[in-house]
Amino acid sequence: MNRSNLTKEMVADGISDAECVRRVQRGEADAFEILVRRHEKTIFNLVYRMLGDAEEAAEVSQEVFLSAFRAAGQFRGDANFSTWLYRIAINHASTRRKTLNSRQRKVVPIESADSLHDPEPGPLEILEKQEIREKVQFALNQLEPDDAAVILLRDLQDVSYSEVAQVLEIPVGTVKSRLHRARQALKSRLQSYFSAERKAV
Amino acid sequence: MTCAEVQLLLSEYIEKSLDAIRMKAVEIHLLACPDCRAETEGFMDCIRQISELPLLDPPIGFTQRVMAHVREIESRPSGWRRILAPFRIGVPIQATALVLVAVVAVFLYQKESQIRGNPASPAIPSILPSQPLSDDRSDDHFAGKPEQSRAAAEPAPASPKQSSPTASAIQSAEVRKKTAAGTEQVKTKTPSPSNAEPSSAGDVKNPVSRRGPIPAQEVATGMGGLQSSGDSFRVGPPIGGSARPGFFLPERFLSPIAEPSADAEFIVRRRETQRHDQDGIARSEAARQSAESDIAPAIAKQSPASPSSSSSPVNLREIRWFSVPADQYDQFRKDLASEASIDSEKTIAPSEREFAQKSNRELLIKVIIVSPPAER
Repeated sequence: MNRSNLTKEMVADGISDAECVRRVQRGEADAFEILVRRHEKTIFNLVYRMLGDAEEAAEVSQEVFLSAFRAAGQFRGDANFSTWLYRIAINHASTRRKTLNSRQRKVVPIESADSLHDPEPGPLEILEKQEIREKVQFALNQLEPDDAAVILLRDLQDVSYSEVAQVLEIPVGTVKSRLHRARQALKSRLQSYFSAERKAV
Repeated sequence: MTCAEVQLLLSEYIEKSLDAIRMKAVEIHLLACPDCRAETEGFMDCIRQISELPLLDPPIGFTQRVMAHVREIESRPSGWRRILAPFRIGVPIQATALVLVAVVAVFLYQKESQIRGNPASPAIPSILPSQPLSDDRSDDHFAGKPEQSRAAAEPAPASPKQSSPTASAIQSAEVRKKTAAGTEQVKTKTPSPSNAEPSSAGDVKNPVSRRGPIPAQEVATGMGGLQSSGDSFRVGPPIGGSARPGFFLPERFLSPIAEPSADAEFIVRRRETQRHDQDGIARSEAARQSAESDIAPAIAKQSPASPSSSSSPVNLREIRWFSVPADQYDQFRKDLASEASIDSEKTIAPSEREFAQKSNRELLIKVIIVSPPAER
Protein backbone atom coordinates (compact mmCIF):
# COMPACT_ATOMS: atom_id res chain seq x y z
CA MET A 1 0.00 0.00 0.00
CA ASN A 2 1.79 3.06 -1.14
CA ARG A 3 1.24 6.67 -0.23
CA SER A 4 -0.82 7.53 -3.25
CA ASN A 5 -3.25 4.76 -2.43
CA LEU A 6 -3.60 5.97 1.09
CA THR A 7 -4.20 9.53 0.09
CA LYS A 8 -6.63 8.34 -2.52
CA GLU A 9 -8.51 6.57 0.21
CA MET A 10 -8.89 9.68 2.27
CA VAL A 11 -11.90 11.76 1.44
CA ALA A 12 -13.33 15.09 2.45
CA ASP A 13 -14.72 13.88 5.77
CA GLY A 14 -11.25 12.75 6.71
CA ILE A 15 -12.13 9.18 7.56
CA SER A 16 -10.22 6.56 5.64
CA ASP A 17 -11.81 3.42 4.30
CA ALA A 18 -9.80 1.40 6.77
CA GLU A 19 -11.13 3.44 9.67
CA CYS A 20 -14.68 3.01 8.43
CA VAL A 21 -14.21 -0.72 8.21
CA ARG A 22 -12.81 -0.77 11.74
CA ARG A 23 -15.89 1.05 12.96
CA VAL A 24 -18.13 -1.37 11.14
CA GLN A 25 -16.24 -4.21 12.77
CA ARG A 26 -16.90 -2.60 16.14
CA GLY A 27 -20.60 -2.66 15.39
CA GLU A 28 -21.13 0.86 14.05
CA ALA A 29 -23.28 0.06 11.07
CA ASP A 30 -23.57 3.74 10.19
CA ALA A 31 -19.91 3.84 9.25
CA PHE A 32 -20.79 1.49 6.44
CA GLU A 33 -22.90 4.18 4.85
CA ILE A 34 -19.78 6.23 4.24
CA LEU A 35 -18.24 3.29 2.43
CA VAL A 36 -21.34 2.71 0.33
CA ARG A 37 -21.54 6.33 -0.72
CA ARG A 38 -17.87 6.40 -1.52
CA HIS A 39 -17.82 3.29 -3.68
CA GLU A 40 -21.32 2.88 -5.06
CA LYS A 41 -20.60 4.52 -8.38
CA THR A 42 -17.43 2.59 -9.08
CA ILE A 43 -18.99 -0.72 -8.16
CA PHE A 44 -22.23 -0.02 -9.96
CA ASN A 45 -20.41 0.87 -13.19
CA LEU A 46 -18.05 -2.08 -12.99
CA VAL A 47 -20.95 -4.45 -12.50
CA TYR A 48 -23.06 -2.70 -15.10
CA ARG A 49 -20.33 -3.05 -17.72
CA MET A 50 -19.81 -6.64 -16.87
CA LEU A 51 -23.51 -7.40 -17.20
CA GLY A 52 -24.73 -4.83 -19.72
CA ASP A 53 -27.98 -4.40 -17.85
CA ALA A 54 -28.57 -1.50 -15.46
CA GLU A 55 -31.36 -3.19 -13.55
CA GLU A 56 -29.37 -6.32 -12.98
CA ALA A 57 -26.38 -4.20 -12.09
CA ALA A 58 -28.30 -2.34 -9.36
CA GLU A 59 -29.41 -5.61 -7.86
CA VAL A 60 -25.98 -7.19 -8.00
CA SER A 61 -24.29 -4.05 -6.66
CA GLN A 62 -26.55 -4.10 -3.67
CA GLU A 63 -25.64 -7.72 -3.08
CA VAL A 64 -21.97 -6.79 -3.34
CA PHE A 65 -22.26 -4.24 -0.55
CA LEU A 66 -24.33 -6.50 1.64
CA SER A 67 -21.80 -9.29 1.20
CA ALA A 68 -19.07 -6.86 2.13
CA PHE A 69 -20.98 -5.86 5.24
CA ARG A 70 -21.56 -9.43 6.30
CA ALA A 71 -17.94 -10.30 5.73
CA ALA A 72 -16.57 -7.09 7.24
CA GLY A 73 -15.17 -9.08 10.15
CA GLN A 74 -12.92 -10.98 7.79
CA PHE A 75 -11.43 -7.84 6.30
CA ARG A 76 -8.02 -7.57 7.88
CA GLY A 77 -6.88 -4.38 6.25
CA ASP A 78 -3.88 -5.91 4.48
CA ALA A 79 -5.34 -4.63 1.22
CA ASN A 80 -7.34 -1.56 0.29
CA PHE A 81 -11.01 -1.78 0.99
CA SER A 82 -11.64 -0.92 -2.66
CA THR A 83 -9.51 -3.86 -3.75
CA TRP A 84 -11.53 -6.13 -1.55
CA LEU A 85 -14.78 -4.66 -2.79
CA TYR A 86 -13.72 -5.02 -6.44
CA ARG A 87 -13.03 -8.66 -5.85
CA ILE A 88 -16.45 -9.24 -4.34
CA ALA A 89 -18.06 -7.31 -7.20
CA ILE A 90 -16.27 -9.30 -9.89
CA ASN A 91 -17.20 -12.57 -8.23
CA HIS A 92 -20.83 -11.60 -7.98
CA ALA A 93 -20.98 -10.20 -11.50
CA SER A 94 -19.28 -13.26 -12.98
CA THR A 95 -21.74 -15.54 -11.28
CA ARG A 96 -24.69 -13.47 -12.41
CA ARG A 97 -23.38 -13.32 -15.93
CA LYS A 98 -23.30 -17.06 -16.23
CA THR A 99 -26.95 -17.32 -15.31
CA LEU A 100 -27.83 -14.39 -17.57
CA ASN A 101 -25.93 -15.86 -20.50
CA SER A 102 -27.60 -19.20 -20.20
CA ARG A 103 -30.95 -17.39 -20.09
CA GLN A 104 -30.15 -15.11 -23.01
CA ARG A 105 -28.90 -17.89 -25.21
CA LYS A 106 -32.28 -19.48 -25.07
CA VAL A 107 -33.89 -16.30 -26.29
CA VAL A 108 -31.28 -14.93 -28.66
CA PRO A 109 -29.26 -17.48 -30.61
CA ILE A 110 -25.69 -16.41 -31.18
CA GLU A 111 -25.93 -16.68 -35.00
CA SER A 112 -28.72 -14.15 -35.07
CA ALA A 113 -26.81 -11.74 -32.87
CA ASP A 114 -24.89 -10.23 -35.78
CA SER A 115 -27.93 -9.75 -37.97
CA LEU A 116 -29.77 -8.34 -35.00
CA HIS A 117 -27.12 -5.73 -34.60
CA ASP A 118 -26.81 -5.06 -38.28
CA PRO A 119 -27.28 -1.35 -38.14
CA GLU A 120 -30.43 0.04 -39.48
CA PRO A 121 -29.52 3.10 -41.57
CA GLY A 122 -30.15 6.17 -39.47
CA PRO A 123 -28.63 9.49 -38.52
CA LEU A 124 -24.89 9.11 -38.39
CA GLU A 125 -24.56 10.96 -35.07
CA ILE A 126 -26.77 8.50 -33.26
CA LEU A 127 -24.87 5.64 -34.74
CA GLU A 128 -21.62 7.28 -33.81
CA LYS A 129 -22.45 7.70 -30.16
CA GLN A 130 -25.16 5.30 -29.19
CA GLU A 131 -24.53 2.38 -31.48
CA ILE A 132 -20.83 2.27 -30.86
CA ARG A 133 -21.37 2.07 -27.13
CA GLU A 134 -23.89 -0.64 -27.61
CA LYS A 135 -21.43 -2.55 -29.72
CA VAL A 136 -18.68 -2.10 -27.19
CA GLN A 137 -20.97 -3.33 -24.47
CA PHE A 138 -22.04 -6.23 -26.62
CA ALA A 139 -18.41 -7.11 -27.27
CA LEU A 140 -17.66 -6.93 -23.56
CA ASN A 141 -20.52 -9.27 -22.85
CA GLN A 142 -19.03 -11.75 -25.27
CA LEU A 143 -15.70 -11.83 -23.48
CA GLU A 144 -14.83 -14.20 -20.73
CA PRO A 145 -15.82 -12.62 -17.39
CA ASP A 146 -12.17 -12.54 -16.29
CA ASP A 147 -11.12 -10.81 -19.49
CA ALA A 148 -13.94 -8.30 -19.23
CA ALA A 149 -13.01 -7.68 -15.60
CA VAL A 150 -9.35 -6.99 -16.32
CA ILE A 151 -10.21 -4.61 -19.16
CA LEU A 152 -12.79 -2.77 -17.11
CA LEU A 153 -10.58 -2.43 -14.07
CA ARG A 154 -7.67 -1.16 -16.10
CA ASP A 155 -9.28 0.89 -18.86
CA LEU A 156 -12.56 1.99 -17.30
CA GLN A 157 -11.62 2.36 -13.65
CA ASP A 158 -7.96 3.14 -14.20
CA VAL A 159 -6.86 0.75 -11.48
CA SER A 160 -3.12 0.24 -11.22
CA TYR A 161 -1.51 -3.00 -12.37
CA SER A 162 -0.56 -3.95 -8.85
CA GLU A 163 -4.06 -3.40 -7.55
CA VAL A 164 -5.58 -5.34 -10.43
CA ALA A 165 -3.17 -8.12 -9.49
CA GLN A 166 -4.48 -7.97 -5.92
CA VAL A 167 -8.09 -7.92 -6.98
CA LEU A 168 -7.75 -10.92 -9.24
CA GLU A 169 -5.20 -12.54 -6.93
CA ILE A 170 -2.73 -13.17 -9.73
CA PRO A 171 0.83 -11.91 -10.31
CA VAL A 172 1.34 -8.58 -12.06
CA GLY A 173 2.98 -10.36 -15.01
CA THR A 174 -0.12 -12.43 -15.45
CA VAL A 175 -2.24 -9.29 -15.33
CA LYS A 176 -0.24 -7.83 -18.23
CA SER A 177 -0.51 -10.89 -20.40
CA ARG A 178 -4.16 -11.39 -19.59
CA LEU A 179 -4.89 -7.75 -20.31
CA HIS A 180 -3.16 -8.01 -23.65
CA ARG A 181 -5.07 -11.12 -24.57
CA ALA A 182 -8.37 -9.57 -23.45
CA ARG A 183 -7.79 -6.41 -25.43
CA GLN A 184 -6.95 -8.44 -28.47
CA ALA A 185 -10.19 -10.37 -28.12
CA LEU A 186 -12.16 -7.16 -27.69
CA LYS A 187 -10.38 -5.49 -30.60
CA SER A 188 -11.11 -8.30 -33.00
CA ARG A 189 -14.79 -8.25 -32.05
CA LEU A 190 -15.07 -4.50 -32.35
CA GLN A 191 -13.21 -4.49 -35.65
CA SER A 192 -15.58 -6.99 -37.14
CA TYR A 193 -18.51 -4.77 -36.22
CA PHE A 194 -16.89 -1.65 -37.46
CA SER A 195 -15.83 -3.20 -40.74
CA ALA A 196 -19.42 -4.39 -41.19
CA GLU A 197 -20.56 -0.86 -40.51
CA ARG A 198 -18.17 0.65 -42.98
CA LYS A 199 -19.40 -1.74 -45.62
CA ALA A 200 -22.96 -0.74 -44.86
CA VAL A 201 -22.10 2.93 -45.00
CA MET B 1 12.16 -7.16 -33.65
CA THR B 2 9.62 -9.19 -35.51
CA CYS B 3 5.98 -8.19 -35.89
CA ALA B 4 4.88 -11.02 -33.57
CA GLU B 5 7.24 -9.82 -30.86
CA VAL B 6 6.09 -6.24 -31.27
CA GLN B 7 2.43 -7.13 -31.18
CA LEU B 8 2.94 -8.89 -27.87
CA LEU B 9 4.25 -5.65 -26.45
CA LEU B 10 1.74 -3.30 -28.03
CA SER B 11 -0.61 -3.23 -25.08
CA GLU B 12 2.15 -2.18 -22.75
CA TYR B 13 3.62 0.16 -25.37
CA ILE B 14 0.36 2.05 -25.55
CA GLU B 15 0.29 2.36 -21.79
CA LYS B 16 3.95 3.35 -21.84
CA SER B 17 4.68 0.77 -19.21
CA LEU B 18 7.57 -0.82 -21.13
CA ASP B 19 11.15 -0.14 -20.18
CA ALA B 20 12.94 2.54 -22.20
CA ILE B 21 14.90 0.17 -24.41
CA ARG B 22 11.88 -1.81 -25.54
CA MET B 23 9.77 1.32 -25.92
CA LYS B 24 12.35 2.57 -28.40
CA ALA B 25 12.55 -0.74 -30.19
CA VAL B 26 8.77 -0.92 -30.68
CA GLU B 27 8.68 2.67 -31.80
CA ILE B 28 11.31 2.05 -34.45
CA HIS B 29 9.48 -1.03 -35.67
CA LEU B 30 6.17 0.80 -35.90
CA LEU B 31 7.69 3.50 -38.03
CA ALA B 32 8.68 0.91 -40.57
CA CYS B 33 5.69 -1.47 -40.32
CA PRO B 34 2.24 -0.29 -41.41
CA ASP B 35 0.60 -3.55 -40.32
CA CYS B 36 1.80 -3.16 -36.80
CA ARG B 37 0.78 0.50 -36.88
CA ALA B 38 -2.73 -0.54 -37.79
CA GLU B 39 -2.68 -3.06 -35.03
CA THR B 40 -1.57 -0.40 -32.59
CA GLU B 41 -4.37 1.86 -33.67
CA GLY B 42 -6.81 -0.96 -33.17
CA PHE B 43 -5.62 -1.40 -29.61
CA MET B 44 -5.71 2.30 -28.90
CA ASP B 45 -9.19 2.51 -30.31
CA CYS B 46 -10.25 -0.38 -28.16
CA ILE B 47 -8.87 1.17 -25.00
CA ARG B 48 -10.40 4.50 -25.85
CA GLN B 49 -13.79 2.93 -26.43
CA ILE B 50 -13.76 1.46 -22.99
CA SER B 51 -12.41 4.51 -21.23
CA GLU B 52 -14.94 6.72 -23.00
CA LEU B 53 -17.84 4.68 -21.80
CA PRO B 54 -19.92 7.04 -19.72
CA LEU B 55 -20.01 6.38 -16.02
CA LEU B 56 -23.61 6.00 -14.98
CA ASP B 57 -24.97 7.12 -11.67
CA PRO B 58 -26.32 4.35 -9.51
CA PRO B 59 -30.09 4.30 -9.24
CA ILE B 60 -31.56 6.94 -6.96
CA GLY B 61 -31.78 5.76 -3.39
CA PHE B 62 -29.21 3.04 -3.86
CA THR B 63 -27.33 3.83 -0.64
CA GLN B 64 -30.54 4.08 1.36
CA ARG B 65 -31.68 0.72 0.12
CA VAL B 66 -28.38 -0.88 0.93
CA MET B 67 -28.37 0.65 4.39
CA ALA B 68 -31.92 -0.47 5.05
CA HIS B 69 -30.81 -4.02 4.34
CA VAL B 70 -27.71 -3.53 6.47
CA ARG B 71 -29.80 -2.48 9.46
CA GLU B 72 -32.05 -5.42 8.89
CA ILE B 73 -29.05 -7.73 9.01
CA GLU B 74 -27.83 -5.90 12.08
CA SER B 75 -31.03 -6.21 14.06
CA ARG B 76 -31.38 -9.85 13.21
CA PRO B 77 -29.42 -11.75 15.80
CA SER B 78 -27.47 -14.23 13.81
CA GLY B 79 -24.88 -16.23 15.56
CA TRP B 80 -22.70 -15.56 18.56
CA ARG B 81 -21.00 -12.55 17.14
CA ARG B 82 -24.17 -10.54 16.93
CA ILE B 83 -25.34 -11.70 20.33
CA LEU B 84 -22.07 -10.88 21.95
CA ALA B 85 -21.45 -7.72 19.99
CA PRO B 86 -22.74 -5.40 22.72
CA PHE B 87 -20.64 -7.16 25.35
CA ARG B 88 -17.50 -7.41 23.35
CA ILE B 89 -15.93 -4.48 25.07
CA GLY B 90 -17.64 -4.81 28.42
CA VAL B 91 -16.57 -8.31 29.37
CA PRO B 92 -12.87 -8.94 29.35
CA ILE B 93 -11.74 -12.44 28.66
CA GLN B 94 -10.21 -12.85 32.11
CA ALA B 95 -13.53 -12.20 33.81
CA THR B 96 -15.25 -14.66 31.56
CA ALA B 97 -12.63 -17.27 32.32
CA LEU B 98 -12.91 -16.62 36.04
CA VAL B 99 -16.66 -17.08 36.02
CA LEU B 100 -16.28 -20.25 34.02
CA VAL B 101 -13.72 -21.67 36.43
CA ALA B 102 -15.91 -20.80 39.39
CA VAL B 103 -18.92 -22.50 37.86
CA VAL B 104 -16.94 -25.64 37.11
CA ALA B 105 -15.47 -25.67 40.61
CA VAL B 106 -18.87 -25.41 42.26
CA PHE B 107 -20.19 -28.12 40.00
CA LEU B 108 -17.36 -30.48 40.82
CA TYR B 109 -17.65 -29.73 44.49
CA GLN B 110 -21.31 -30.60 44.49
CA LYS B 111 -20.66 -33.74 42.54
CA GLU B 112 -18.04 -34.77 45.04
CA SER B 113 -20.32 -34.12 47.98
CA GLN B 114 -22.99 -36.18 46.34
CA ILE B 115 -20.68 -39.09 45.87
CA ARG B 116 -19.40 -38.85 49.40
CA GLY B 117 -22.85 -38.41 50.82
CA ASN B 118 -24.28 -41.41 49.07
CA PRO B 119 -22.09 -44.43 49.44
CA ALA B 120 -24.49 -46.62 47.54
CA SER B 121 -24.41 -44.31 44.58
CA PRO B 122 -23.96 -46.24 41.39
CA ALA B 123 -22.32 -43.27 39.80
CA ILE B 124 -18.87 -44.60 40.58
CA PRO B 125 -18.23 -48.08 39.36
CA SER B 126 -16.99 -50.28 42.09
CA ILE B 127 -13.48 -50.29 40.88
CA LEU B 128 -12.24 -51.29 44.21
CA PRO B 129 -13.05 -54.78 45.20
CA SER B 130 -16.11 -54.35 47.23
CA GLN B 131 -18.65 -56.89 46.29
CA PRO B 132 -18.56 -60.22 47.99
CA LEU B 133 -18.30 -63.19 45.76
CA SER B 134 -21.05 -65.69 45.66
CA ASP B 135 -20.85 -68.28 48.32
CA ASP B 136 -19.82 -71.23 46.24
CA ARG B 137 -17.27 -69.20 44.49
CA SER B 138 -15.73 -67.92 47.63
CA ASP B 139 -15.58 -71.40 48.96
CA ASP B 140 -14.07 -72.60 45.81
CA HIS B 141 -11.68 -69.83 45.77
CA PHE B 142 -10.64 -69.65 49.31
CA ALA B 143 -11.21 -73.09 50.68
CA GLY B 144 -7.62 -74.14 50.35
CA LYS B 145 -6.24 -70.78 50.95
CA PRO B 146 -3.89 -69.95 53.65
CA GLU B 147 -6.54 -67.75 54.98
CA GLN B 148 -5.81 -66.89 58.46
CA SER B 149 -8.15 -66.96 61.27
CA ARG B 150 -8.12 -63.56 62.50
CA ALA B 151 -9.80 -64.60 65.61
CA ALA B 152 -6.76 -66.54 66.61
CA ALA B 153 -4.46 -63.62 66.45
CA GLU B 154 -6.87 -60.94 67.24
CA PRO B 155 -5.52 -58.95 70.07
CA ALA B 156 -8.87 -58.08 71.40
CA PRO B 157 -10.49 -61.38 72.15
CA ALA B 158 -13.56 -61.78 70.11
CA SER B 159 -15.63 -64.50 68.70
CA PRO B 160 -14.87 -65.49 65.11
CA LYS B 161 -18.12 -64.12 64.05
CA GLN B 162 -17.42 -60.82 65.59
CA SER B 163 -13.99 -60.69 64.10
CA SER B 164 -15.32 -61.22 60.67
CA PRO B 165 -14.99 -57.95 58.88
CA THR B 166 -18.17 -58.34 56.98
CA ALA B 167 -19.97 -55.42 58.38
CA SER B 168 -19.76 -52.68 55.94
CA ALA B 169 -18.75 -49.27 56.96
CA ILE B 170 -22.24 -48.02 56.76
CA GLN B 171 -23.65 -50.94 58.55
CA SER B 172 -21.05 -50.59 61.18
CA ALA B 173 -21.71 -46.97 61.57
CA GLU B 174 -25.39 -47.42 61.73
CA VAL B 175 -25.13 -50.34 64.01
CA ARG B 176 -22.95 -48.43 66.31
CA LYS B 177 -25.38 -45.64 66.35
CA LYS B 178 -27.90 -47.96 67.78
CA THR B 179 -26.16 -47.86 71.12
CA ALA B 180 -25.84 -50.97 73.18
CA ALA B 181 -27.64 -53.21 70.77
CA GLY B 182 -24.94 -52.55 68.24
CA THR B 183 -22.75 -55.48 68.98
CA GLU B 184 -25.64 -57.84 68.86
CA GLN B 185 -26.69 -56.53 65.52
CA VAL B 186 -23.27 -56.97 64.12
CA LYS B 187 -23.40 -60.52 65.21
CA THR B 188 -26.68 -61.17 63.56
CA LYS B 189 -25.70 -59.48 60.41
CA THR B 190 -22.45 -61.20 59.99
CA PRO B 191 -23.63 -64.47 58.50
CA SER B 192 -25.93 -62.87 55.99
CA PRO B 193 -25.05 -64.07 52.48
CA SER B 194 -24.65 -60.64 51.10
CA ASN B 195 -21.82 -60.11 53.46
CA ALA B 196 -20.50 -63.60 53.32
CA GLU B 197 -16.87 -63.32 54.05
CA PRO B 198 -14.68 -66.08 52.80
CA SER B 199 -12.68 -65.88 55.90
CA SER B 200 -15.57 -67.38 57.73
CA ALA B 201 -14.99 -70.52 55.80
CA GLY B 202 -11.30 -70.08 56.05
CA ASP B 203 -11.50 -69.70 59.73
CA VAL B 204 -12.92 -73.08 60.00
CA LYS B 205 -11.12 -74.92 57.27
CA ASN B 206 -7.73 -73.47 57.59
CA PRO B 207 -7.23 -71.88 60.89
CA VAL B 208 -3.56 -71.17 60.32
CA SER B 209 -3.04 -67.61 61.14
CA ARG B 210 -0.76 -65.66 58.89
CA ARG B 211 -1.14 -62.30 60.31
CA GLY B 212 -2.99 -60.54 62.91
CA PRO B 213 -5.89 -58.39 62.06
CA ILE B 214 -5.59 -54.74 62.31
CA PRO B 215 -6.91 -53.67 65.61
CA ALA B 216 -8.86 -50.90 64.16
CA GLN B 217 -12.42 -49.98 63.83
CA GLU B 218 -13.45 -48.79 60.46
CA VAL B 219 -15.89 -46.06 60.93
CA ALA B 220 -16.65 -44.61 57.58
CA THR B 221 -15.93 -45.00 53.96
CA GLY B 222 -15.71 -42.36 51.34
CA MET B 223 -16.77 -42.61 47.73
CA GLY B 224 -19.73 -44.44 46.40
CA GLY B 225 -20.27 -48.05 45.56
CA LEU B 226 -18.24 -49.11 48.49
CA GLN B 227 -20.91 -50.24 50.77
CA SER B 228 -19.28 -53.47 51.64
CA SER B 229 -15.84 -52.03 51.64
CA GLY B 230 -15.25 -53.46 55.03
CA ASP B 231 -14.96 -56.75 53.24
CA SER B 232 -12.57 -55.73 50.65
CA PHE B 233 -10.08 -53.85 52.63
CA ARG B 234 -9.44 -55.79 55.66
CA VAL B 235 -8.02 -53.16 57.80
CA GLY B 236 -10.16 -52.80 60.74
CA PRO B 237 -12.60 -55.46 61.61
CA PRO B 238 -14.75 -54.27 64.40
CA ILE B 239 -13.04 -54.79 67.62
CA GLY B 240 -15.30 -56.47 70.00
CA GLY B 241 -16.84 -53.97 72.28
CA SER B 242 -14.50 -51.23 71.30
CA ALA B 243 -17.02 -49.58 69.11
CA ARG B 244 -18.39 -46.63 70.86
CA PRO B 245 -21.82 -46.01 69.57
CA GLY B 246 -22.37 -42.63 68.16
CA PHE B 247 -18.80 -41.65 68.57
CA PHE B 248 -18.31 -40.99 64.92
CA LEU B 249 -20.55 -39.25 62.59
CA PRO B 250 -22.24 -41.44 60.07
CA GLU B 251 -20.51 -41.35 56.79
CA ARG B 252 -23.03 -39.18 55.08
CA PHE B 253 -22.02 -36.38 57.36
CA LEU B 254 -18.44 -36.64 56.38
CA SER B 255 -18.82 -33.96 53.83
CA PRO B 256 -15.78 -31.83 53.21
CA ILE B 257 -17.19 -29.28 55.61
CA ALA B 258 -18.08 -31.60 58.42
CA GLU B 259 -15.09 -33.84 57.94
CA PRO B 260 -13.31 -34.40 61.22
CA SER B 261 -9.63 -33.78 61.27
CA ALA B 262 -7.76 -37.01 61.33
CA ASP B 263 -5.03 -37.68 63.84
CA ALA B 264 -3.09 -39.49 61.17
CA GLU B 265 -3.48 -39.74 57.46
CA PHE B 266 -2.25 -42.34 55.01
CA ILE B 267 -2.29 -42.46 51.27
CA VAL B 268 -2.04 -46.07 50.29
CA ARG B 269 -1.99 -47.90 47.02
CA ARG B 270 -3.50 -51.27 46.51
CA ARG B 271 -1.03 -53.75 45.23
CA GLU B 272 -1.35 -54.94 41.71
CA THR B 273 -1.19 -58.55 42.72
CA GLN B 274 -4.06 -58.07 44.99
CA ARG B 275 -6.45 -57.70 42.19
CA HIS B 276 -7.85 -60.12 39.75
CA ASP B 277 -10.54 -60.14 37.21
CA GLN B 278 -13.54 -62.27 37.47
CA ASP B 279 -12.37 -64.41 34.64
CA GLY B 280 -8.90 -64.62 36.04
CA ILE B 281 -9.76 -66.27 39.29
CA ALA B 282 -7.88 -69.45 38.67
CA ARG B 283 -4.79 -67.64 37.57
CA SER B 284 -4.88 -65.30 40.45
CA GLU B 285 -5.56 -68.17 42.73
CA ALA B 286 -2.52 -70.01 41.54
CA ALA B 287 -0.39 -66.96 41.77
CA ARG B 288 -1.64 -66.30 45.19
CA GLN B 289 -0.99 -69.76 46.39
CA SER B 290 2.41 -69.99 44.90
CA ALA B 291 3.33 -66.70 46.36
CA GLU B 292 1.89 -67.74 49.64
CA SER B 293 0.70 -64.30 49.80
CA ASP B 294 0.25 -62.78 53.10
CA ILE B 295 -2.43 -60.63 51.76
CA ALA B 296 -5.96 -61.05 52.67
CA PRO B 297 -7.76 -62.44 49.65
CA ALA B 298 -10.70 -60.31 50.28
CA ILE B 299 -8.80 -57.31 49.18
CA ALA B 300 -8.27 -58.88 45.83
CA LYS B 301 -11.86 -59.54 45.28
CA GLN B 302 -13.19 -57.86 42.27
CA SER B 303 -16.74 -56.92 41.99
CA PRO B 304 -18.43 -59.46 39.76
CA ALA B 305 -20.55 -56.69 38.46
CA SER B 306 -17.60 -54.92 37.01
CA PRO B 307 -15.26 -57.44 35.53
CA SER B 308 -13.59 -54.81 33.44
CA SER B 309 -13.06 -52.48 36.30
CA SER B 310 -9.46 -53.47 36.66
CA SER B 311 -8.72 -51.42 33.62
CA SER B 312 -11.03 -48.62 34.45
CA PRO B 313 -9.87 -45.36 35.96
CA VAL B 314 -7.12 -45.98 38.44
CA ASN B 315 -7.07 -42.75 40.26
CA LEU B 316 -10.38 -43.32 41.83
CA ARG B 317 -9.91 -42.78 45.48
CA GLU B 318 -11.56 -44.25 48.44
CA ILE B 319 -11.39 -42.73 51.82
CA ARG B 320 -11.69 -44.84 54.91
CA TRP B 321 -11.82 -43.72 58.42
CA PHE B 322 -10.61 -45.85 61.24
CA SER B 323 -10.63 -45.40 64.92
CA VAL B 324 -7.74 -47.11 66.56
CA PRO B 325 -6.88 -47.31 70.21
CA ALA B 326 -3.84 -45.20 70.71
CA ASP B 327 -1.76 -48.06 71.99
CA GLN B 328 -2.51 -50.11 68.90
CA TYR B 329 -1.54 -47.48 66.40
CA ASP B 330 1.75 -49.13 65.54
CA GLN B 331 0.03 -52.42 64.95
CA PHE B 332 -2.48 -50.72 62.72
CA ARG B 333 0.20 -49.10 60.70
CA LYS B 334 2.05 -52.36 60.28
CA ASP B 335 -1.04 -54.12 59.14
CA LEU B 336 -1.88 -51.36 56.78
CA ALA B 337 1.56 -51.56 55.29
CA SER B 338 1.16 -55.26 54.69
CA GLU B 339 -2.24 -54.71 53.19
CA ALA B 340 -1.23 -52.00 50.79
CA SER B 341 1.78 -49.96 49.98
CA ILE B 342 1.84 -46.70 51.77
CA ASP B 343 2.48 -43.87 49.42
CA SER B 344 2.65 -41.20 51.99
CA GLU B 345 1.61 -40.67 55.51
CA LYS B 346 1.02 -37.89 57.88
CA THR B 347 1.64 -39.60 61.11
CA ILE B 348 0.65 -38.55 64.54
CA ALA B 349 3.01 -36.59 66.71
CA PRO B 350 4.44 -38.74 69.53
CA SER B 351 3.39 -36.29 72.19
CA GLU B 352 -0.13 -36.21 70.93
CA ARG B 353 -0.22 -39.92 70.79
CA GLU B 354 0.97 -40.19 74.31
CA PHE B 355 -1.71 -37.84 75.38
CA ALA B 356 -4.34 -39.81 73.54
CA GLN B 357 -3.08 -42.95 75.13
CA LYS B 358 -3.30 -41.43 78.55
CA SER B 359 -6.77 -40.12 78.04
CA ASN B 360 -7.78 -43.47 76.58
CA ARG B 361 -8.86 -41.80 73.38
CA GLU B 362 -9.04 -43.56 70.07
CA LEU B 363 -7.14 -42.14 67.22
CA LEU B 364 -8.97 -41.15 64.12
CA ILE B 365 -7.08 -42.30 61.08
CA LYS B 366 -7.87 -41.33 57.57
CA VAL B 367 -6.79 -43.75 54.86
CA ILE B 368 -6.95 -42.61 51.30
CA ILE B 369 -6.84 -45.61 49.05
CA VAL B 370 -5.61 -45.14 45.54
CA SER B 371 -6.07 -47.85 43.01
CA PRO B 372 -3.00 -49.51 41.59
CA PRO B 373 -1.24 -47.84 38.74
CA ALA B 374 -2.55 -48.44 35.28
CA GLU B 375 0.54 -49.95 33.74
CA ARG B 376 -0.28 -53.46 32.81
